[in-house]
Amino acid sequence: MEKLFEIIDLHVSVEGKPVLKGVSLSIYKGDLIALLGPNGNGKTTLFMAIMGHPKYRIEKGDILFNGLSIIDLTPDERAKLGIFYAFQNPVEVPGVINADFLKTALNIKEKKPVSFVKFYHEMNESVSRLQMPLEMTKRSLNVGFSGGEKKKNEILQMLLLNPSLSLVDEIDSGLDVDALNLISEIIKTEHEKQKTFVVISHNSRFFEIVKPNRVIVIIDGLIQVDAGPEMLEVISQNGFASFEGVANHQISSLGLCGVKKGEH
Amino acid sequence: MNINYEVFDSKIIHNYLSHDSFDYKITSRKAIALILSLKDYGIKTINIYLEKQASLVLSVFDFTKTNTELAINLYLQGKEARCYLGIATIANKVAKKYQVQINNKKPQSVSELEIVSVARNGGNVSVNGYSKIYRNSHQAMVTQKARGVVFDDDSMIKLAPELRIDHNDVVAAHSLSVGEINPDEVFYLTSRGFSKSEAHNMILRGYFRDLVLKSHSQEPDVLYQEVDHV
Repeated sequence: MEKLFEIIDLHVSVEGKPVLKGVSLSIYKGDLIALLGPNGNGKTTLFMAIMGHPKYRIEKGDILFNGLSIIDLTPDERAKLGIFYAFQNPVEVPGVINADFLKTALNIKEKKPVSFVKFYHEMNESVSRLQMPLEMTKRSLNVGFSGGEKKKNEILQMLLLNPSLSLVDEIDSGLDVDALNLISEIIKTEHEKQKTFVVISHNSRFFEIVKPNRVIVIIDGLIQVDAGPEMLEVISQNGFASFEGVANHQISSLGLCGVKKGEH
Repeated sequence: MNINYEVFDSKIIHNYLSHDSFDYKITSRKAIALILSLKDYGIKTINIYLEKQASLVLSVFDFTKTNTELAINLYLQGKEARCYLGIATIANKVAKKYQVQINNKKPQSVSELEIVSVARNGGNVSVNGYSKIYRNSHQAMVTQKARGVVFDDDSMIKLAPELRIDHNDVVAAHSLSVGEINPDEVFYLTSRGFSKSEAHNMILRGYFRDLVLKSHSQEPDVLYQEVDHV
Protein backbone atom coordinates (compact mmCIF):
# COMPACT_ATOMS: atom_id res chain seq x y z
CA MET A 1 0.00 0.00 0.00
CA GLU A 2 1.13 3.54 -0.76
CA LYS A 3 2.07 5.51 2.34
CA LEU A 4 0.25 8.83 2.37
CA PHE A 5 0.98 10.17 5.78
CA GLU A 6 3.47 9.52 8.54
CA ILE A 7 3.68 10.78 12.09
CA ILE A 8 7.04 10.26 13.77
CA ASP A 9 7.49 10.40 17.55
CA LEU A 10 5.11 13.34 17.87
CA HIS A 11 5.10 15.25 21.14
CA VAL A 12 2.49 18.00 21.40
CA SER A 13 1.70 20.35 24.26
CA VAL A 14 -1.25 22.64 24.78
CA GLU A 15 -0.59 25.75 26.87
CA GLY A 16 2.51 24.10 28.33
CA LYS A 17 0.80 20.83 29.19
CA PRO A 18 2.10 17.73 27.35
CA VAL A 19 -0.77 15.93 25.63
CA LEU A 20 0.80 13.74 22.97
CA LYS A 21 3.88 11.97 24.27
CA GLY A 22 5.46 10.25 21.31
CA VAL A 23 2.86 9.25 18.73
CA SER A 24 4.11 7.37 15.68
CA LEU A 25 1.71 6.33 12.97
CA SER A 26 1.69 5.55 9.27
CA ILE A 27 -1.44 6.12 7.22
CA TYR A 28 -1.79 4.47 3.85
CA LYS A 29 -3.79 5.64 0.87
CA GLY A 30 -7.31 4.25 1.16
CA ASP A 31 -7.11 3.64 4.90
CA LEU A 32 -10.20 4.23 6.96
CA ILE A 33 -8.93 4.39 10.50
CA ALA A 34 -11.09 4.46 13.59
CA LEU A 35 -9.26 6.60 16.12
CA LEU A 36 -10.51 5.69 19.55
CA GLY A 37 -9.69 6.32 23.16
CA PRO A 38 -11.14 7.76 26.33
CA ASN A 39 -12.07 11.44 26.33
CA GLY A 40 -9.23 13.86 26.94
CA ASN A 41 -6.44 11.49 25.94
CA GLY A 42 -5.20 13.18 22.77
CA LYS A 43 -7.39 12.26 19.79
CA THR A 44 -8.54 15.77 18.90
CA THR A 45 -5.10 17.11 19.82
CA LEU A 46 -3.62 14.81 17.18
CA PHE A 47 -6.02 16.21 14.56
CA MET A 48 -5.38 19.81 15.61
CA ALA A 49 -1.61 19.27 15.47
CA ILE A 50 -1.89 17.75 12.00
CA MET A 51 -3.97 20.71 10.85
CA GLY A 52 -1.56 23.20 12.42
CA HIS A 53 -3.64 24.90 15.09
CA PRO A 54 -1.34 27.50 16.67
CA LYS A 55 -2.34 26.54 20.22
CA TYR A 56 -1.08 22.99 19.72
CA ARG A 57 2.68 23.20 19.97
CA ILE A 58 4.82 20.50 18.45
CA GLU A 59 7.68 19.94 20.91
CA LYS A 60 9.31 17.07 19.08
CA GLY A 61 8.79 14.78 16.13
CA ASP A 62 7.59 15.23 12.59
CA ILE A 63 4.54 14.88 10.35
CA LEU A 64 5.10 13.85 6.77
CA PHE A 65 2.53 14.13 4.00
CA ASN A 66 3.55 12.35 0.82
CA GLY A 67 7.06 12.23 2.26
CA LEU A 68 7.32 15.99 2.93
CA SER A 69 7.41 17.51 6.40
CA ILE A 70 4.42 19.75 7.02
CA ILE A 71 5.10 20.91 10.57
CA ASP A 72 6.41 24.28 9.42
CA LEU A 73 3.46 24.88 7.10
CA THR A 74 0.55 27.15 7.98
CA PRO A 75 -2.94 25.62 8.26
CA ASP A 76 -3.95 26.94 4.83
CA GLU A 77 -0.85 25.42 3.24
CA ARG A 78 -1.74 22.07 4.80
CA ALA A 79 -5.33 22.41 3.56
CA LYS A 80 -4.06 23.14 0.07
CA LEU A 81 -2.09 19.88 0.15
CA GLY A 82 -5.41 18.08 0.54
CA ILE A 83 -5.80 17.68 4.30
CA PHE A 84 -9.27 18.39 5.64
CA TYR A 85 -10.41 18.55 9.25
CA ALA A 86 -14.13 18.15 9.96
CA PHE A 87 -14.48 19.93 13.29
CA GLN A 88 -16.05 18.41 16.36
CA ASN A 89 -17.41 21.87 17.17
CA PRO A 90 -17.64 23.84 13.92
CA VAL A 91 -17.01 27.53 14.48
CA GLU A 92 -19.74 30.11 13.86
CA VAL A 93 -18.65 33.03 11.68
CA PRO A 94 -21.30 35.77 11.79
CA GLY A 95 -21.97 37.72 8.62
CA VAL A 96 -20.02 35.36 6.36
CA ILE A 97 -22.55 33.79 4.02
CA ASN A 98 -22.11 30.04 3.75
CA ALA A 99 -22.27 29.96 -0.06
CA ASP A 100 -19.76 32.85 -0.37
CA PHE A 101 -17.44 31.01 1.97
CA LEU A 102 -17.79 27.76 0.03
CA LYS A 103 -17.24 29.46 -3.32
CA THR A 104 -14.15 31.31 -2.08
CA ALA A 105 -12.74 28.10 -0.56
CA LEU A 106 -13.30 26.33 -3.88
CA ASN A 107 -11.68 29.19 -5.82
CA ILE A 108 -8.64 28.96 -3.54
CA LYS A 109 -8.44 25.21 -3.98
CA GLU A 110 -8.76 25.43 -7.76
CA LYS A 111 -6.33 28.41 -7.82
CA LYS A 112 -8.75 30.25 -10.12
CA PRO A 113 -12.31 31.56 -9.92
CA VAL A 114 -14.74 28.73 -10.43
CA SER A 115 -17.66 29.67 -12.64
CA PHE A 116 -20.89 30.32 -10.82
CA VAL A 117 -22.66 27.64 -12.86
CA LYS A 118 -20.09 24.99 -12.00
CA PHE A 119 -20.07 25.98 -8.34
CA TYR A 120 -23.83 26.05 -8.07
CA HIS A 121 -24.09 22.66 -9.77
CA GLU A 122 -21.54 21.08 -7.43
CA MET A 123 -22.96 22.71 -4.34
CA ASN A 124 -26.52 21.77 -5.24
CA GLU A 125 -25.50 18.17 -5.87
CA SER A 126 -23.75 17.88 -2.49
CA VAL A 127 -26.53 19.70 -0.66
CA SER A 128 -29.06 17.26 -2.14
CA ARG A 129 -26.87 14.33 -1.21
CA LEU A 130 -26.81 15.56 2.37
CA GLN A 131 -30.55 16.27 2.33
CA MET A 132 -29.86 19.82 3.47
CA PRO A 133 -32.20 22.69 2.61
CA LEU A 134 -30.49 24.93 0.05
CA GLU A 135 -31.55 27.85 2.22
CA MET A 136 -28.76 26.88 4.68
CA THR A 137 -26.17 27.99 2.14
CA LYS A 138 -27.63 31.48 2.24
CA ARG A 139 -27.23 31.84 5.99
CA SER A 140 -24.22 33.01 7.98
CA LEU A 141 -21.63 30.26 8.28
CA ASN A 142 -22.79 27.85 11.04
CA VAL A 143 -24.61 30.65 12.86
CA GLY A 144 -27.83 29.38 14.40
CA PHE A 145 -27.32 25.94 12.85
CA SER A 146 -28.36 23.00 14.99
CA GLY A 147 -25.67 20.51 16.00
CA GLY A 148 -26.71 18.19 13.18
CA GLU A 149 -26.81 21.00 10.60
CA LYS A 150 -23.28 22.04 11.55
CA LYS A 151 -22.05 18.49 11.05
CA LYS A 152 -23.75 18.25 7.67
CA ASN A 153 -22.14 21.54 6.72
CA GLU A 154 -18.73 20.10 7.57
CA ILE A 155 -19.38 17.17 5.25
CA LEU A 156 -20.67 19.55 2.58
CA GLN A 157 -17.30 21.34 2.70
CA MET A 158 -15.49 18.01 2.58
CA LEU A 159 -17.40 16.94 -0.52
CA LEU A 160 -16.76 20.22 -2.32
CA LEU A 161 -13.08 20.45 -1.43
CA ASN A 162 -12.47 16.78 -2.21
CA PRO A 163 -9.44 16.26 0.07
CA SER A 164 -7.09 13.30 -0.09
CA LEU A 165 -7.01 12.93 3.72
CA SER A 166 -10.05 13.69 5.87
CA LEU A 167 -9.79 13.91 9.64
CA VAL A 168 -13.34 13.52 10.89
CA ASP A 169 -13.86 14.41 14.54
CA GLU A 170 -16.99 13.00 16.20
CA ILE A 171 -19.15 13.75 13.20
CA ASP A 172 -21.88 11.60 14.75
CA SER A 173 -22.43 13.80 17.79
CA GLY A 174 -25.56 15.89 17.44
CA LEU A 175 -26.92 13.77 14.60
CA ASP A 176 -30.26 12.04 14.72
CA VAL A 177 -30.38 8.43 13.62
CA ASP A 178 -31.35 9.23 10.02
CA ALA A 179 -28.66 11.86 9.63
CA LEU A 180 -26.12 9.52 11.20
CA ASN A 181 -26.98 6.82 8.68
CA LEU A 182 -26.83 9.32 5.82
CA ILE A 183 -23.43 10.74 6.75
CA SER A 184 -22.02 7.31 7.53
CA GLU A 185 -23.10 6.13 4.07
CA ILE A 186 -21.50 9.20 2.46
CA ILE A 187 -18.19 8.55 4.22
CA LYS A 188 -18.40 4.90 3.22
CA THR A 189 -19.03 5.87 -0.42
CA GLU A 190 -16.17 8.37 -0.45
CA HIS A 191 -13.89 5.77 1.09
CA GLU A 192 -14.81 3.37 -1.68
CA LYS A 193 -13.35 5.95 -4.07
CA GLN A 194 -9.97 5.34 -2.41
CA LYS A 195 -10.18 8.43 -0.23
CA THR A 196 -8.35 8.24 3.09
CA PHE A 197 -10.07 8.86 6.41
CA VAL A 198 -9.23 8.98 10.07
CA VAL A 199 -12.41 9.17 12.10
CA ILE A 200 -13.05 9.71 15.77
CA SER A 201 -16.34 8.38 17.04
CA HIS A 202 -17.78 6.78 20.12
CA ASN A 203 -20.75 5.45 18.20
CA SER A 204 -20.77 1.76 17.30
CA ARG A 205 -23.65 2.31 14.83
CA PHE A 206 -21.39 4.66 12.86
CA PHE A 207 -18.67 2.01 12.59
CA GLU A 208 -21.19 -0.64 11.54
CA ILE A 209 -21.68 1.37 8.36
CA VAL A 210 -18.31 2.95 7.61
CA LYS A 211 -16.33 -0.22 8.40
CA PRO A 212 -12.78 0.89 9.24
CA ASN A 213 -9.88 -1.30 8.15
CA ARG A 214 -7.79 -0.24 11.17
CA VAL A 215 -8.46 0.64 14.77
CA ILE A 216 -6.10 2.84 16.71
CA VAL A 217 -6.45 3.55 20.40
CA ILE A 218 -4.81 6.54 22.04
CA ILE A 219 -4.51 6.51 25.79
CA ASP A 220 -2.62 9.12 27.77
CA GLY A 221 -1.08 10.64 24.66
CA LEU A 222 0.30 7.37 23.31
CA ILE A 223 -0.94 4.87 20.75
CA GLN A 224 -1.69 1.77 22.76
CA VAL A 225 -3.35 -0.24 20.02
CA ASP A 226 -2.97 -0.39 16.26
CA ALA A 227 -5.11 -3.29 15.20
CA GLY A 228 -7.62 -4.57 12.69
CA PRO A 229 -11.37 -3.90 12.70
CA GLU A 230 -12.04 -6.85 15.00
CA MET A 231 -10.72 -4.64 17.81
CA LEU A 232 -13.97 -2.66 17.70
CA GLU A 233 -15.87 -5.57 19.15
CA VAL A 234 -13.25 -6.10 21.84
CA ILE A 235 -13.44 -2.46 22.85
CA SER A 236 -17.19 -2.51 22.72
CA GLN A 237 -17.20 -5.36 25.22
CA ASN A 238 -14.25 -4.49 27.46
CA GLY A 239 -13.85 -0.72 27.16
CA PHE A 240 -10.44 0.94 27.17
CA ALA A 241 -9.34 0.16 30.69
CA SER A 242 -7.58 -3.07 29.74
CA PHE A 243 -5.27 -1.22 27.33
CA GLU A 244 -3.94 1.33 29.71
CA GLY A 245 -0.22 0.83 30.18
CA VAL A 246 -0.15 -2.09 27.77
CA ALA A 247 2.39 -1.89 24.98
CA ASN A 248 1.15 -2.61 21.47
CA HIS A 249 3.19 -5.81 21.14
CA GLN A 250 1.48 -7.18 24.22
CA ILE A 251 -2.01 -6.82 22.78
CA SER A 252 -2.00 -10.20 21.06
CA SER A 253 -0.91 -11.91 24.26
CA LEU A 254 -4.06 -10.54 25.88
CA GLY A 255 -6.05 -12.41 23.24
CA LEU A 256 -7.31 -9.19 21.72
CA CYS A 257 -6.50 -10.04 18.10
CA GLY A 258 -4.08 -7.11 17.85
CA VAL A 259 -1.60 -6.48 15.10
CA LYS A 260 1.71 -4.75 15.50
CA LYS A 261 2.37 -1.33 14.09
CA GLY A 262 3.59 -1.46 10.52
CA GLU A 263 1.90 -4.73 9.62
CA HIS A 264 -0.24 -3.20 6.88
CA MET B 1 -42.19 48.49 9.10
CA ASN B 2 -41.71 48.70 5.34
CA ILE B 3 -40.58 52.08 4.09
CA ASN B 4 -39.69 52.88 0.53
CA TYR B 5 -36.48 54.84 0.69
CA GLU B 6 -35.20 57.11 -2.00
CA VAL B 7 -31.52 56.25 -2.17
CA PHE B 8 -28.72 58.80 -2.60
CA ASP B 9 -25.06 57.90 -2.59
CA SER B 10 -21.87 59.95 -2.44
CA LYS B 11 -21.76 60.36 -6.20
CA ILE B 12 -25.16 62.01 -6.26
CA ILE B 13 -24.46 64.44 -3.41
CA HIS B 14 -20.85 64.95 -4.41
CA ASN B 15 -21.16 68.73 -4.63
CA TYR B 16 -22.35 69.00 -1.07
CA LEU B 17 -19.71 66.69 0.32
CA SER B 18 -16.78 68.73 -0.89
CA HIS B 19 -17.72 71.47 1.60
CA ASP B 20 -16.89 71.39 5.29
CA SER B 21 -20.48 71.03 6.35
CA PHE B 22 -23.41 69.12 4.93
CA ASP B 23 -26.85 70.35 5.98
CA TYR B 24 -29.97 68.58 4.92
CA LYS B 25 -33.63 68.66 5.82
CA ILE B 26 -35.97 65.74 5.24
CA THR B 27 -39.43 67.04 4.86
CA SER B 28 -42.56 65.52 6.25
CA ARG B 29 -43.25 61.89 5.21
CA LYS B 30 -40.16 61.67 2.98
CA ALA B 31 -37.86 58.66 3.33
CA ILE B 32 -34.22 59.07 2.36
CA ALA B 33 -31.29 56.66 2.45
CA LEU B 34 -27.94 58.44 2.29
CA ILE B 35 -24.81 56.42 1.67
CA LEU B 36 -21.66 58.37 2.36
CA SER B 37 -18.43 56.77 1.36
CA LEU B 38 -15.94 59.24 2.79
CA LYS B 39 -13.30 58.59 0.16
CA ASP B 40 -11.68 61.85 -0.91
CA TYR B 41 -14.18 64.11 0.85
CA GLY B 42 -13.14 66.70 3.40
CA ILE B 43 -16.46 66.99 5.14
CA LYS B 44 -16.32 67.88 8.85
CA THR B 45 -19.95 68.20 9.97
CA ILE B 46 -23.23 66.63 8.94
CA ASN B 47 -26.47 68.14 10.23
CA ILE B 48 -29.73 66.49 9.24
CA TYR B 49 -33.18 67.58 10.35
CA LEU B 50 -36.18 65.26 10.20
CA GLU B 51 -39.69 66.60 10.14
CA LYS B 52 -42.92 64.83 11.01
CA GLN B 53 -42.91 61.16 9.92
CA ALA B 54 -39.71 61.66 7.95
CA SER B 55 -37.37 58.67 7.75
CA LEU B 56 -33.64 58.57 7.30
CA VAL B 57 -31.12 55.79 6.83
CA LEU B 58 -27.68 57.37 6.99
CA SER B 59 -24.79 54.99 6.39
CA VAL B 60 -21.26 56.28 6.67
CA PHE B 61 -18.55 54.05 5.26
CA ASP B 62 -15.15 55.34 6.19
CA PHE B 63 -12.53 53.00 4.77
CA THR B 64 -10.16 55.80 3.82
CA LYS B 65 -6.47 55.62 4.59
CA THR B 66 -6.46 59.15 5.96
CA ASN B 67 -7.42 60.65 9.31
CA THR B 68 -11.09 61.48 9.75
CA GLU B 69 -12.71 63.92 12.12
CA LEU B 70 -16.44 64.10 11.65
CA ALA B 71 -19.39 65.37 13.66
CA ILE B 72 -22.85 64.03 12.86
CA ASN B 73 -25.92 65.68 14.36
CA LEU B 74 -29.38 64.34 13.72
CA TYR B 75 -32.48 66.20 14.86
CA LEU B 76 -35.73 64.27 15.00
CA GLN B 77 -37.83 67.36 15.34
CA GLY B 78 -41.11 66.06 14.03
CA LYS B 79 -43.47 63.55 15.62
CA GLU B 80 -42.85 59.93 14.52
CA ALA B 81 -39.62 60.84 12.76
CA ARG B 82 -37.24 57.92 12.57
CA CYS B 83 -33.59 57.46 11.75
CA TYR B 84 -30.96 54.81 11.50
CA LEU B 85 -27.33 55.92 11.59
CA GLY B 86 -24.71 53.31 10.75
CA ILE B 87 -21.02 54.11 10.95
CA ALA B 88 -18.54 51.61 9.54
CA THR B 89 -14.91 52.50 9.89
CA ILE B 90 -11.50 50.90 9.60
CA ALA B 91 -8.49 52.73 10.97
CA ASN B 92 -5.35 51.27 9.44
CA LYS B 93 -2.38 53.32 10.71
CA VAL B 94 -4.66 56.39 10.92
CA ALA B 95 -7.03 58.03 13.41
CA LYS B 96 -10.81 58.18 13.06
CA LYS B 97 -12.70 60.46 15.36
CA TYR B 98 -16.48 60.72 15.38
CA GLN B 99 -18.76 62.86 17.46
CA VAL B 100 -22.38 61.80 17.09
CA GLN B 101 -25.43 63.46 18.57
CA ILE B 102 -28.95 62.21 17.97
CA ASN B 103 -31.80 64.28 19.32
CA ASN B 104 -35.17 62.62 19.78
CA LYS B 105 -37.17 65.78 20.29
CA LYS B 106 -40.70 64.65 19.59
CA PRO B 107 -43.11 61.89 20.63
CA GLN B 108 -42.83 58.49 19.03
CA SER B 109 -39.56 59.39 17.35
CA VAL B 110 -37.29 56.41 16.79
CA SER B 111 -33.52 56.48 16.48
CA GLU B 112 -30.99 53.73 16.08
CA LEU B 113 -27.24 54.20 16.16
CA GLU B 114 -24.96 51.36 15.07
CA ILE B 115 -21.19 51.65 15.04
CA VAL B 116 -18.86 48.99 13.71
CA SER B 117 -15.17 49.76 13.82
CA VAL B 118 -11.84 48.08 13.27
CA ALA B 119 -8.39 49.31 14.24
CA ARG B 120 -5.16 47.78 12.95
CA ASN B 121 -1.48 48.59 12.58
CA GLY B 122 -1.56 51.30 15.20
CA GLY B 123 -4.89 52.69 14.02
CA ASN B 124 -7.07 54.60 16.43
CA VAL B 125 -10.87 54.89 16.49
CA SER B 126 -12.78 57.13 18.83
CA VAL B 127 -16.56 57.46 18.66
CA ASN B 128 -18.68 59.41 21.10
CA GLY B 129 -22.31 58.56 20.52
CA TYR B 130 -24.75 60.72 22.43
CA SER B 131 -28.49 60.17 22.14
CA LYS B 132 -30.94 62.39 23.90
CA ILE B 133 -34.65 61.90 24.48
CA TYR B 134 -36.22 65.26 25.20
CA ARG B 135 -38.92 66.02 27.72
CA ASN B 136 -42.44 65.17 26.49
CA SER B 137 -41.10 62.84 23.81
CA HIS B 138 -43.38 60.09 25.00
CA GLN B 139 -43.04 56.64 23.46
CA ALA B 140 -39.75 57.60 21.85
CA MET B 141 -37.34 54.74 21.17
CA VAL B 142 -33.55 54.92 21.17
CA THR B 143 -31.02 52.17 20.60
CA GLN B 144 -27.26 52.34 20.43
CA LYS B 145 -25.06 49.45 19.39
CA ALA B 146 -21.30 49.67 19.17
CA ARG B 147 -18.82 46.96 18.25
CA GLY B 148 -15.09 47.16 17.75
CA VAL B 149 -12.29 44.82 16.74
CA VAL B 150 -8.70 45.59 17.60
CA PHE B 151 -6.10 43.71 15.59
CA ASP B 152 -2.95 44.42 17.53
CA ASP B 153 -1.55 45.92 20.74
CA ASP B 154 -0.62 49.19 19.02
CA SER B 155 -4.20 49.90 17.92
CA MET B 156 -6.97 51.34 20.00
CA ILE B 157 -10.73 51.70 19.88
CA LYS B 158 -12.66 53.92 22.23
CA LEU B 159 -16.42 53.73 21.86
CA ALA B 160 -18.50 55.79 24.20
CA PRO B 161 -22.25 55.41 23.83
CA GLU B 162 -24.20 57.75 26.06
CA LEU B 163 -27.92 58.12 26.66
CA ARG B 164 -29.68 61.06 28.21
CA ILE B 165 -33.34 60.53 28.93
CA ASP B 166 -35.59 63.36 30.06
CA HIS B 167 -38.91 61.54 29.79
CA ASN B 168 -40.28 58.40 31.46
CA ASP B 169 -42.50 56.78 28.90
CA VAL B 170 -39.73 55.71 26.48
CA VAL B 171 -37.68 52.71 25.38
CA ALA B 172 -33.91 53.00 25.40
CA ALA B 173 -31.11 50.46 25.14
CA HIS B 174 -27.44 50.37 24.41
CA SER B 175 -24.73 47.75 24.01
CA LEU B 176 -21.00 47.87 23.53
CA SER B 177 -18.35 45.29 22.80
CA VAL B 178 -14.71 45.65 21.83
CA GLY B 179 -12.39 42.71 21.39
CA GLU B 180 -9.83 40.99 19.25
CA ILE B 181 -10.58 39.13 16.06
CA ASN B 182 -11.67 35.64 17.05
CA PRO B 183 -8.68 33.30 16.51
CA ASP B 184 -11.03 30.30 16.25
CA GLU B 185 -12.78 31.93 13.27
CA VAL B 186 -9.40 32.58 11.65
CA PHE B 187 -8.27 28.99 12.20
CA TYR B 188 -11.53 27.64 10.84
CA LEU B 189 -11.13 29.58 7.60
CA THR B 190 -7.42 28.85 7.25
CA SER B 191 -8.16 25.15 7.69
CA ARG B 192 -10.21 25.49 4.49
CA GLY B 193 -7.32 26.99 2.55
CA PHE B 194 -7.81 30.72 3.23
CA SER B 195 -4.54 32.51 3.94
CA LYS B 196 -4.54 34.48 7.19
CA SER B 197 -5.11 37.71 5.30
CA GLU B 198 -7.90 36.22 3.18
CA ALA B 199 -9.50 34.92 6.38
CA HIS B 200 -9.28 38.36 7.99
CA ASN B 201 -10.88 39.97 4.95
CA MET B 202 -13.72 37.50 4.87
CA ILE B 203 -14.38 37.91 8.59
CA LEU B 204 -14.31 41.70 8.27
CA ARG B 205 -16.69 41.61 5.33
CA GLY B 206 -19.02 39.63 7.56
CA TYR B 207 -18.48 42.09 10.34
CA PHE B 208 -19.73 44.98 8.19
CA ARG B 209 -22.38 42.99 6.39
CA ASP B 210 -25.33 44.15 8.49
CA LEU B 211 -24.46 47.78 7.90
CA VAL B 212 -24.06 47.25 4.16
CA LEU B 213 -27.46 45.51 4.02
CA LYS B 214 -29.17 48.23 6.01
CA SER B 215 -27.64 50.97 3.84
CA HIS B 216 -29.82 50.11 0.83
CA SER B 217 -26.68 50.28 -1.30
CA GLN B 218 -27.12 49.03 -4.82
CA GLU B 219 -23.37 48.41 -5.09
CA PRO B 220 -22.60 46.37 -1.97
CA ASP B 221 -19.69 44.63 -3.70
CA VAL B 222 -17.95 47.96 -4.12
CA LEU B 223 -18.17 48.53 -0.37
CA TYR B 224 -16.88 45.02 0.38
CA GLN B 225 -13.97 45.56 -1.97
CA GLU B 226 -13.09 48.72 -0.09
CA VAL B 227 -12.96 46.63 3.10
CA ASP B 228 -10.50 44.26 1.39
CA HIS B 229 -8.23 47.10 0.40
CA VAL B 230 -7.79 48.75 3.80
